[in-house]
Amino acid sequence: MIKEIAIPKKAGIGLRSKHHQEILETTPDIAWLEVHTENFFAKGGSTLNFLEKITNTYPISFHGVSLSLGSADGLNKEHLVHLKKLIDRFNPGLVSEHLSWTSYNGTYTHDLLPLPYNKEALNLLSNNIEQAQEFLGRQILIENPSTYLAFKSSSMSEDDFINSLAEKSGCAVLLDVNNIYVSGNNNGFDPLRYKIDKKHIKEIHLAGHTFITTSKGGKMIVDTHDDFVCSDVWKLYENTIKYTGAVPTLIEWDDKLPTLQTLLEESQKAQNIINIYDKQHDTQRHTETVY
Amino acid sequence: MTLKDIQKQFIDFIYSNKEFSSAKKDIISPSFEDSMMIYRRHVWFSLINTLETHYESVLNLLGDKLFLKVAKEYVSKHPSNTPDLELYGFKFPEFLRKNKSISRYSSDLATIDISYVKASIAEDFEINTFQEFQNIKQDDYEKIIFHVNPTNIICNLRYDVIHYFEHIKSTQKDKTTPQIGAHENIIITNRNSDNNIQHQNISSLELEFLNQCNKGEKFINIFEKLYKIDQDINLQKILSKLIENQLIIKFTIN
Repeated sequence: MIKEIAIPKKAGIGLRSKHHQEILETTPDIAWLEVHTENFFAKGGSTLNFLEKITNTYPISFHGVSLSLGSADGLNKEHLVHLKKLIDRFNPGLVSEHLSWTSYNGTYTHDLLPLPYNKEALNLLSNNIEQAQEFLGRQILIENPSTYLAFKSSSMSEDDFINSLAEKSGCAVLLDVNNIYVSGNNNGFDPLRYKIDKKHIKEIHLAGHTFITTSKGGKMIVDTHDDFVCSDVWKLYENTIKYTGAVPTLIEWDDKLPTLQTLLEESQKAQNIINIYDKQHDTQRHTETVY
Repeated sequence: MTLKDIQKQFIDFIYSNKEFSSAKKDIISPSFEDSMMIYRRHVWFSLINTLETHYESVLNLLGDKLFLKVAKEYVSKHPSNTPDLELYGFKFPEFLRKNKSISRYSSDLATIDISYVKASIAEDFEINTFQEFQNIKQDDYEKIIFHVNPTNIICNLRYDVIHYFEHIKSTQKDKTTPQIGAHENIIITNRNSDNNIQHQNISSLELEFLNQCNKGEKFINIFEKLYKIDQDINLQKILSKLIENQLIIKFTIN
């Protein structure tokens, strides 16, 4: 079993297959890396070999997309078993998932689908998160989603919902600042008024997005993760770091990947902001459990 | 409207384009159709992209337009039933076989394509070398049990598509595309101890050897069975091929 290395309160990048070989060969100066957990669910082979080498060199966090914590028909036990096996073997510094659902009744969408923010959803998610944390033996982080619609049956705002969820379930929060911007634009709320209690925030994501014109001639933003972080999102991030202090921050770029050097330069922008507001430079272990 | 109702209608809309009936009343959006289509496109894009990645040589054979048409038909009939996107589309070769409107070679090519995917994600293993086998005393021969490579994928093909497949995979393409021949053959794909995916033709006798190994038969019993099929059997040659190509990876003496 690989020894857990804490994720430092610095800027890191998402690890994508296009850069695997280069990172192994050149071992660039990167504070930490995040991988998509499901990409390493294989029983064997070169992908797991590669992950072994990477985790011996860099702090790693696991970011999942298919656990479907918001599924109305409960958690997929097989998926949890796979996830636990991977976590037990590689001991990532952080493990995160999403405030969403991806499957129902055995049919999977491989997308992060929206939930209303009401009591039913809060109880469901809280139960599922508690079950997952107990099975995995660790706290998990839940990421705020990018959404393209809202529900009339919501009885609270998204940030109030997330704060309540963290209090109720003991999970932490992965704050995706780009998602706040995307969802705020699409659903008519002010991103600057979005407030998650800083004690819950254990990681931040930054990413690019794309504007589209709707059939009615309006504008929506799609969370495409295929471009640089825009200036409005940088401003939102700066506000966030001013409020939270230094938090591990990830540049999340999944499509139309640039060179590794470009990604590192993008993460340096985040690091510059952290350096301005950071009061402490210790690494703090993110291994607190709620048991 | 419960969460179950909303989620069921979402899934029905995404995969079957069914009208989003009662749940629609609960939704707030500047443009309902655009919002829903963003989700629908994400899902379809992921699944079609996975098929394109898994079935590179079929994509090459059919071309982008025809592949997309076939892939969309597949997705509409095969919603994903796995949380692991890597495991999506394993029934595509069978689906292609039943589709009379496309190339009759595409199904066999797809079989090879997906055999590479399956071999790459199968469980890890340890090996014994042919040298180690040759060091076994003859007295112990009857006690040997062979263990096959867990990543072995057997492909029974109607057409000789392997040269076309290799042409697509090769980074140094020849000027002319190889012809696809019409003869039956058995290809076995696996992952070796260097994590390279490889394939080879095997004979029906070699396949029977592997089948008997899978049943846990001892070496001596396998030899007797194969000798009944072919009295000219060259067991040394067969074993050398199976072990050196890591179709057999281990042996134990019981």
